Amino acid sequence: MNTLARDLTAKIGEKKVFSKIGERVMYRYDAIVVGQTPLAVVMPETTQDVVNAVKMARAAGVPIVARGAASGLSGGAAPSSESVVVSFTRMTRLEIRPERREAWAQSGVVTGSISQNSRPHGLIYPPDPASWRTSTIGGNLAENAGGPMCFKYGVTGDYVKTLEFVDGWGNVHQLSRDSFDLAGLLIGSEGTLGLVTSMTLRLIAPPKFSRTLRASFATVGDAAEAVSQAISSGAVPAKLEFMDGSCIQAVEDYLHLGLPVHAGAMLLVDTDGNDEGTVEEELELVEKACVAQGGTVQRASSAAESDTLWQARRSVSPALGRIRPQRMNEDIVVPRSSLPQVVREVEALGLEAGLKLVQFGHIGDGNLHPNILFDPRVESEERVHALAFDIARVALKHGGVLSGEHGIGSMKRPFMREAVDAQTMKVLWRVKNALDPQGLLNPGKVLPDELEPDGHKLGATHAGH
Amino acid sequence: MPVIEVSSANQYAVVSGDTPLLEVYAALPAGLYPPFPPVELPGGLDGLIQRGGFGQNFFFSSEILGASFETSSGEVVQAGGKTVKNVQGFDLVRPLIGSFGRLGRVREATLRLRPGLAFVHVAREGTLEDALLLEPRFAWQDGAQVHAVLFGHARAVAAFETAFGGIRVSESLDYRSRFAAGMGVGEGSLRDSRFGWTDGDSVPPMPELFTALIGAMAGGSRG
Repeated sequence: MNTLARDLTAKIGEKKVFSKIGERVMYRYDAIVVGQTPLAVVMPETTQDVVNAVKMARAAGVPIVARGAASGLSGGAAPSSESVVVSFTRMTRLEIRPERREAWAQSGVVTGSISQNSRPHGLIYPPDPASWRTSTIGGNLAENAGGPMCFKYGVTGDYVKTLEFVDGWGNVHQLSRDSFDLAGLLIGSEGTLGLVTSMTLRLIAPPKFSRTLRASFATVGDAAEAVSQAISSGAVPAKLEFMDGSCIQAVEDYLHLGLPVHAGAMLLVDTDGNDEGTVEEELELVEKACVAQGGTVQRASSAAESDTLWQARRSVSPALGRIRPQRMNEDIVVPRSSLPQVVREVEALGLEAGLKLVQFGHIGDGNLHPNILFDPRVESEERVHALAFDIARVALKHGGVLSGEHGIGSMKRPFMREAVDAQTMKVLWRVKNALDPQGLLNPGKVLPDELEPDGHKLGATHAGH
Repeated sequence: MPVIEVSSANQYAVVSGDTPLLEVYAALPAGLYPPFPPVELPGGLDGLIQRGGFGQNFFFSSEILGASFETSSGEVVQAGGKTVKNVQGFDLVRPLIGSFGRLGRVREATLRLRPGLAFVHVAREGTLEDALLLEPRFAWQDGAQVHAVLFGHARAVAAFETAFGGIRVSESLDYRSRFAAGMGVGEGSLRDSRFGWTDGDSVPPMPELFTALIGAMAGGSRG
């Protein structure tokens, strides 16, 4: 046992600290990246446990990496160097406060359990990342997670009313958001500015009615145009999901649902609300726009039929897993109007690289998930990374961003210099240095190295160059 | 040309910080609405963002997609972008909103626009708390009167108007003369779900670590 693990065990308790290599090695990865094996893993049960872990790691000069369910897709929770991992999965206290329409949760609460426990009170928590059954709310805050419901209902951060966090010195802060919104900075910062320990979340009454349709189109452009028209005509669908031809084919090969395999694109759309007539009208607006673009529309006539239509979208991940053993899941966001062009350019890049590529995503907010499917035994990972970089560049060229809901983590860090101007990057680094001067909080994530390869500080003037 | 770009297809507007709020309303196409009610307040869009919005009954920050702002040392920082979802680096938009000028001056902001096939602004005697129960988009108390604004589907707007009662407000309101010394937080004639608003420059209490952020924006010691 190393000294730090021994000291943490003595202070925090044997049952709350993992120090054996066989235990620690399980805490070096997230859903996509394998990082360094931590020196110790702390399983806090209280905020005070977190405080103790941070203070002791800091005294030893060892980095601190917060971790939830490790279902992240950008390497955010995988330690980039020998660290103390603080795993929140035992901080699972949850209180529903129906009279205030809010929930108080510790960071280790599983996302799905918030709605599950709120429903008996006639309330739900809307953000629904695909990992909601396993992901923790703390991880959702760290990445500012999204999901299909977010086009109408907003992302994780929009639901956070207050939060408690432990800073890099081990001090505890309580934050609210009506002004001087420091919580807004913490949300999405991937554990690089502090460790969120609990929060209150806004809950809403679930809409009484919902309707579903599926539409297939000859081209992605037609589908994107239909979306644009539907939204311009005043429709605000609750969900607006898109799959390209390769993605439709992959799901059909997997489940034989009778999907339109010759289509270039498919949309799945839900409208919802408390007035049944308005929900119907809204779906009609969407249907009209789809038909106007040559789409073939199928409306679900019951909740069961709606569920069948959505099965295709829900099955994307397992379907893709059958094609190649590994995949790189991109998460670009572009202004909606440039979607047809972006999807075409990304498709062409995939063909050019000779790699299998499928596209799906949350088309309402321009959030695309191009997935590169590959077999590391026969396909070069370098080529996969090069293609990922090229896809990121397409998003940037069209006024978009590298990530909409997965975060930058370690995987998209190399792209950040192209995405963020030097002046703004310098300020982001100053923010990091102000809140974590020794760089102990989840180093190697989000921001590219402060020093450029030639040793200059990022954003500094290159005199004489 | 203070309203710099309006994209109906993408439902956003890029607006310079010094633009009066009613000018934004005037520049938008029919059926698209900004994240503030049709009233004029001190400081235009910059002032509104510095105060964290006015009268909203929703999470205001999610409607400001991006902003460029000039720090006290004259640096220009680009926060956020033009898309609704964005987790590219630290979010500087959220802390800027409601920072009462401490982080810098808004040069330009990208507002999310929301569609509405119908729109209504109504006022009557009553309390803000009662009005909020009817879930308007915006509501605020002006003395004994409560104002509420809703846009959306025709039936929803009509049902709201019936439930709320009162009279329609068709002319635009200008509250600037009430805030000659600035729109400060405190007991005053106007009140929304966050704060009372008074003539002056008083601001809410600031969390301890926010000062670190102010230092980082101003250049910081490690610049």
